[in-house]
Amino acid sequence: MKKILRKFYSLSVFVLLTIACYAQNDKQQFGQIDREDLVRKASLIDKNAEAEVLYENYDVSLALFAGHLQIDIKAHTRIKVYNEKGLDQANIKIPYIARSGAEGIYKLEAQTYNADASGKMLVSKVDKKSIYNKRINNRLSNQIFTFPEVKAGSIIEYSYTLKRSILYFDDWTFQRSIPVRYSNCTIEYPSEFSWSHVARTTLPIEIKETKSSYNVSKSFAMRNIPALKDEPFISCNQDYLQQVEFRLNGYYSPQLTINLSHTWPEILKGMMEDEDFGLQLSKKIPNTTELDQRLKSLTSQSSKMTAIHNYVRNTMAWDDSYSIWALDGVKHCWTDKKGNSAEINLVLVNLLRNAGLKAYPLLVSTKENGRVNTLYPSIQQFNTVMAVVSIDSSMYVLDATDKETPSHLIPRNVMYSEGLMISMEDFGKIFTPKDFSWMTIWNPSQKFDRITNMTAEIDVAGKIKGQAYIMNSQYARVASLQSFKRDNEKYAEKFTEVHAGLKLSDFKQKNEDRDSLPLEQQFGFELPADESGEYKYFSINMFSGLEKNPFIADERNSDILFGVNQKFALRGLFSIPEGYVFEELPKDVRMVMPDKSIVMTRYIQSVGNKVNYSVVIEFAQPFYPADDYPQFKEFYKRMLDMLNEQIVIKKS
Amino acid sequence: MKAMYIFFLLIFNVTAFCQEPVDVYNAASIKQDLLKDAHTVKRFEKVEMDINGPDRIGMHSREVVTIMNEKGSNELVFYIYTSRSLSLDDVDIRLYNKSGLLIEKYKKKDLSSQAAGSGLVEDGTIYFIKLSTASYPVTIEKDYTVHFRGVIQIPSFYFSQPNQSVEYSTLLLKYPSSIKVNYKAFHFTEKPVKQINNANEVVQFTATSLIAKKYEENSGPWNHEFPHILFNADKINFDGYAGNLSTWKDMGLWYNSLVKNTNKLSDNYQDEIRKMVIGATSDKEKAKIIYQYLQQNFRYVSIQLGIGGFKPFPANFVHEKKYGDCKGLSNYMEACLAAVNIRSYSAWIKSGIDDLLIDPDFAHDGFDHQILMVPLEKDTVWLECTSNYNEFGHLGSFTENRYALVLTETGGRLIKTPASRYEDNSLTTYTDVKITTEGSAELKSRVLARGELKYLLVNVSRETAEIHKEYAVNYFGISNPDKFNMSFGSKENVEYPVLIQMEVDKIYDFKAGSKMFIKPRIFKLWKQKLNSVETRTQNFYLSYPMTKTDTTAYHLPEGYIPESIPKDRQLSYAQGSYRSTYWYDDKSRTIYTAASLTLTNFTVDPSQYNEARIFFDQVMEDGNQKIICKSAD
Repeated sequence: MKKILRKFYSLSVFVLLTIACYAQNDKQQFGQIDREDLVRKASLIDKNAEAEVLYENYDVSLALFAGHLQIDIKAHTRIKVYNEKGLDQANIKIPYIARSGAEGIYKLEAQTYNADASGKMLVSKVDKKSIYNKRINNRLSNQIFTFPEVKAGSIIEYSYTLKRSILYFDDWTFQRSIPVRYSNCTIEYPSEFSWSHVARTTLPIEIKETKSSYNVSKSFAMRNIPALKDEPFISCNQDYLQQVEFRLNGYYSPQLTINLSHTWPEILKGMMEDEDFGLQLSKKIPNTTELDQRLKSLTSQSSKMTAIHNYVRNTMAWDDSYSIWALDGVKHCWTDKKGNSAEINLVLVNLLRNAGLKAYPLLVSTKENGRVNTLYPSIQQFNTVMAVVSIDSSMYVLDATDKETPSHLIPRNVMYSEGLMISMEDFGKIFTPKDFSWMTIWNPSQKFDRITNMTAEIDVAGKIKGQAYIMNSQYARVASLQSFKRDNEKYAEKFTEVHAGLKLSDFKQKNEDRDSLPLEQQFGFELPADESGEYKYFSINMFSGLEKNPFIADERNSDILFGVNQKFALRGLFSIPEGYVFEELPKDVRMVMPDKSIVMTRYIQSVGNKVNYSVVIEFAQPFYPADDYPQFKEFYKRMLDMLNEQIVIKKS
Repeated sequence: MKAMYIFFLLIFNVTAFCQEPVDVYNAASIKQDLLKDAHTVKRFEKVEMDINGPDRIGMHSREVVTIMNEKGSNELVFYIYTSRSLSLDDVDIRLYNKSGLLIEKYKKKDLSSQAAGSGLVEDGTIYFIKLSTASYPVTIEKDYTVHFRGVIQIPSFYFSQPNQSVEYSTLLLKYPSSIKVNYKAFHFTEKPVKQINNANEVVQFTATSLIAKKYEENSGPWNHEFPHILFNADKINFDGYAGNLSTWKDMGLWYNSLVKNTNKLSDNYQDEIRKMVIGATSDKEKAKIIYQYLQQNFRYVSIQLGIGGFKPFPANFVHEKKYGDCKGLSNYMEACLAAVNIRSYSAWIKSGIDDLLIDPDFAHDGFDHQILMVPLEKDTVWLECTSNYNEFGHLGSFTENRYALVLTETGGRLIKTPASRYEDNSLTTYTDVKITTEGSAELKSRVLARGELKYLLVNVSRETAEIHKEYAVNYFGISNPDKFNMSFGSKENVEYPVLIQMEVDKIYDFKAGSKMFIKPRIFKLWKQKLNSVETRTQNFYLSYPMTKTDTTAYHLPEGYIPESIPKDRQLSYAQGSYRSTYWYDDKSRTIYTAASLTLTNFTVDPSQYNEARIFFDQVMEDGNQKIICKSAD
C-alpha cells in the first residue's frame, strides 16, 4: 500500500511539473527541439518504451468560399526513438482519399535530429525524391516515406497540410502503440455550422472552446498517455482507445437552415424508410416452397423458429462481412443464396414473420466492434443486425451467419451488450418514436458449461490408464464444435498437449448435429505417472480447459470480458496399485471472491485404494472491471495452484 | 434456358480441349481414389505459356477445381499479383453447384484491387475476389490471361497443392527456337511431349490421376515436396537489362550489369571509412569494425520498385540516408570494404528454411535475400547486413547451411554457407533459490545466451517490462512469479548476459501434508511436444542446433531436509542428448540440480521422427519430476 501511495505522489508531482512547463504555450514550432529530449535515454511515461510521441498536433479548419467547401488540416508529429524496436516508427504512411481528388497532401516536410559526439544537433532532411505515392485501392492512396539517419536516440519530425473537399472531420485518436506525451486536435469552423463531439476517454482531457462572431474553435488535448496494450479477454481495443469523435449537427445561416440533428427516433425513422433496410422488411420473399414444406408439420412456435433459422443458415452463404445494410436487397440475396450479415438476417426476419412469428430486427455491435453508447445516437456504432423473436415471455436472438450457435442460445459475440430492437408490428406503417426499444442482451443462465469426468487406474509400473468423458454444454458446445470443424484431424491431438508422454485413443464424439444436447467427447488416455523416490503423483487437471493462466500481467488497463457466465466441473475416480497408500490428500476447500462472483469448491476423498474428487468452478459474472484486476488476478492464481495440486501416493 | 446454355458450353469445351472429360463440373463424377485426403480436386487445368521474346510472355490459364469441404475454401479465392511488368487482361470466374450447374460468374470488373506487398514501398497491385458458398462440394472455374512485359524468369508450374488430387493438368510452353529454354521436373516423372514447327518449339507436360498428398506438420514450405517444374532461359530482358539466366555463372553476370556504378563510394565517404579502421591490423579486424558501424547506424527498410526489386540503392545513397534493403545494405558494405582494400562479394540466398528449392544442377532464381561473403586470408566470413545484432560472421538459421549464389566479377558461383554448430547457439542458466520455512522464495538467475538464443533475448530486451515477464513465463516455462525483474547486459558481449530476479510466495508446486514437492529446475529446457503420427514421409524441422545447460541451487530453510531427490538421467537419440544430475550438499543445505540438452541438427528425418518424439517426451517428463523436502523433525 505504501508503495502505491509513493507511486501516486511521484506521479502527481510529475504531472504538475509538466503542466508548468507547457502552460505558457503548448504549440510547438517545426524544428524547435528540446535539448533534453534529444539526449534523453528513456521515456518518462514508460521507461521501457521503444519510442514516444513527444508532440502531436492536428488543426482542422473548415471554410466556405462562395459555396465551396474547403477543409485544411495542418498535421505535425514529433517522435523520439529510444531503441532499435522503435526504428519502425520512422517508416511513415499517410493515408488519404485520392478518389475524385477528395483529398490531397501538400507541404510535406520531414527531418531527423541526432546529437553528435559533442552533443551538437544534426539535422537530416527527407528529400522530395524519397517520398513515394502508392495507390492502395480505388479510394485510398498513401504517401510513404522513411527518415534518413535514424538510430536509437534520434528524434523524427514531420508536418504536412491535407486539403479536403468533402465534409467530414476525422475522429482524433490520442493514443498509440507507443506512449504519447502531448496530443492535441483543434477544429475550427464558421459559426453557421454546428458540430458536436463525443470524447471516448478515461484519462484527463483538456477541452477549450472559443467563439467569435464568425468562427468557433474547439481544442482537445491529452497528456502523458500510456501505450495501448493488447490484453487477454479484452472486448476490443476500440473500447479503450482514447479518442474524440466529431459529428455535424447542421448548418444555420439566415438564408439556409439544414438540420441534421439526430435523435434515435429520427435516425431510426430514416433507416426504416431506407431502401437498404426498412423497406426490405416488408418484401415478399419469393420461392419458399421447400421451406414451407418443412414448416407444415411443425406446430409449436419454437420449432418453427428453429426450422427457419436452420434452413436460412444452412442454405445461405455468408460472405464474411458484417453490415447493417441489405445493399443487394433480400429477394435478390435469397435467390442467390448469399449475402452479408444484414441481408441474411433480414431474410430471416422476413421468413419468421411470414410463418406468423413475432420477429423483429435487432441492431447490435459485436464484441470485436466495441460497446454501444445508448446516449450517443449514431447508427455507426452498430456493425450488424440480427433477428429477435418473442415467444410467450421469452426473447430469442438469432444470427443466421453463425452456423454453430443453437437457436435457443444468444450468439456469444453479442452477449452482454446493448441491442436496439425495431419493435414494430407492421413494417408497412410509418415509424413512430415508440416503435423501438433497447434490449440488454444477457441471460445469466446461458453459460459456458464443461464437465470433465475421468476414471483411471495406476499400475505398479507407474502407468496411468483411463477413460475421459467430457460434456460440453451451451457455449462450451459451440466453442468445441467450432474448433473441431476448423481442424477435425488435429482436434483430438490437442488434448495431449497438457502432459509429456500423454497418448490418446478411440476419440469419439456424440451429438454433433443435435444442438439441444451437450457435445459429448469420449476417449481413452495413457500417460506415465510422475515419480520421485518412493512417491508417485498425478494431476487431476487434465482436459479441463483450465490448464494455463492467461492473467499473468501485473497491471491491466482494460476490463476482462468473458461475455458469458462459466461453469467448469472436474469429477473422477482414480485407483492406485496394490502396496501403495495415499499421502495426505489436497484439502477440501471452498474459495469465494469477495463479491461472490467466482466460487470454487473442491472435494477429494479416498476410500481404500481409490480416490474420488469433484472440483467445481463457477463464474457468475461475465465481466470484471480493470479496477478489480488485482483481486481477480490473485484469485485466478490461487485457483490454478489448487487445480494443479497433485495427488501423491507412496509405497506402504 | 440455363440448362441449354450449359449444354452448349460443354460442347464448346469438348471441341476445344479434347482431353477434357465431359463432366468436370459435376462433383459426383470424381473417382473414389482421388477423394482420399482431398480437400480439393483439380478436375481440369490447361496453362498455355507463350514466350514471344526475351521480355514478352503471354499466359492463358484455365482451371476447374472441385472444393470438397470447408478446408478447401481457399480455392474460392481468385487472387493475382500484377505490376508494371505484369498485366491482367481477361478474367472469367464461374461457380458451379455440386451437380455442375452454373450458379455465378464474374469478370475482371467484379474484382477488387489492393496494393501488394508487406514492405514499406513495393510495386504491384493484387486483383482478387472471394466467392462464398453455404454448402460443399462446389466447383470453381478460373480462366484468365496475363501478359509479362519484362521477364526475369519463366513462371514455375505446380501441378498440385497439399490435400489436392488431380484428374488432369497440362502445361504447354511455346517459345521461339532462338531462345533456349531449359526445364527440370521435381516429384514428377512423366516425360514431356516436344514439338518443333517452323521457328517455334512447344513442350507439353501432363499429369493425370494424381492422388492427394498431405502436408505434414513442420515440414517447411510445401512447394518443394509437391510435383512441379522449374524453367530457365538463355535470353531474358527486364527493364532493358538483357541477359542469360540459364546458368549460375551467367545469372551472376546479369546481376553485375545492374550493379555497375552503384557499388562505389565517393572519395570523401571512402576517407570516412578508412579513418574508422586506422590502427586495425588485420583485414578481419577492419571488416569487423565496419560491420559494427553498419549495425549501429543503419537500418533495414524494404523499398522495391520495378528493377529496384533487383537493383540495389547506390552505396552513396545508403551512406547518406543510413537505411537500405538487403541489397542496398550488402552492396554498401561491399563498397565500404573495397574502400579499405578488402574484396567481398554480394550473394543471393533463399531465407527461412526453404533453402531446399535451390538445386545446384539447375539455374533458377529461387532467392529472396542478399548477404555478403568476405574471403579473408584464413577463413571466409559471411555477413548478414540487415541485422542490428548478429555476431560478426554468424548468419543464423535464417540463411545458414545452404547454397548462396556468390556474385563475382566472372559471374555467379554457388557456394554453401556454413552451418551453425550447436555450441554457436547456447543458453546457460544458473539459478539460486533461497527458500523460507513458509515455502516462499527469492530467486536470482544468471543467464548467458549465444547465437540464436542471444538474438531472441536481444529482441525481448527492447520490449516493455510486461512482455519481459510474459516471455519468461511462456518461453522459459517459469511459473508465474509474484515479483519479477529482468535486466539485460550489453549486446556487445558474445555471450549476452541477462539477470532475472524473482520472488514467489510458493516455491513448491504442491504440498502433501508438510512435504513440499518442488520442480527440479526453474528454466524448462524443452517445451515443444511432437505429435504422435502413424507415419511421416517429410522432414520435421526444429529451429536450430543448440545446447542449453541449467543449474539450479535450492537453499533449504533451517530445519528442512530433502526426503527424496530425482535420479540422474541420461537420454539420447541420433541427433540429441540430455543429461540430468541431482545432488545434495549437507553442509550448505543445498540441493543442486543440473541438466543439459544438446541438439546437433535441427532437421529430423522421417525415419527418426518417432525416436525424436519419444526423446523429447522423456526430456519433458524428467522436468516433471519433483524434489521432495520435509521438515527435519
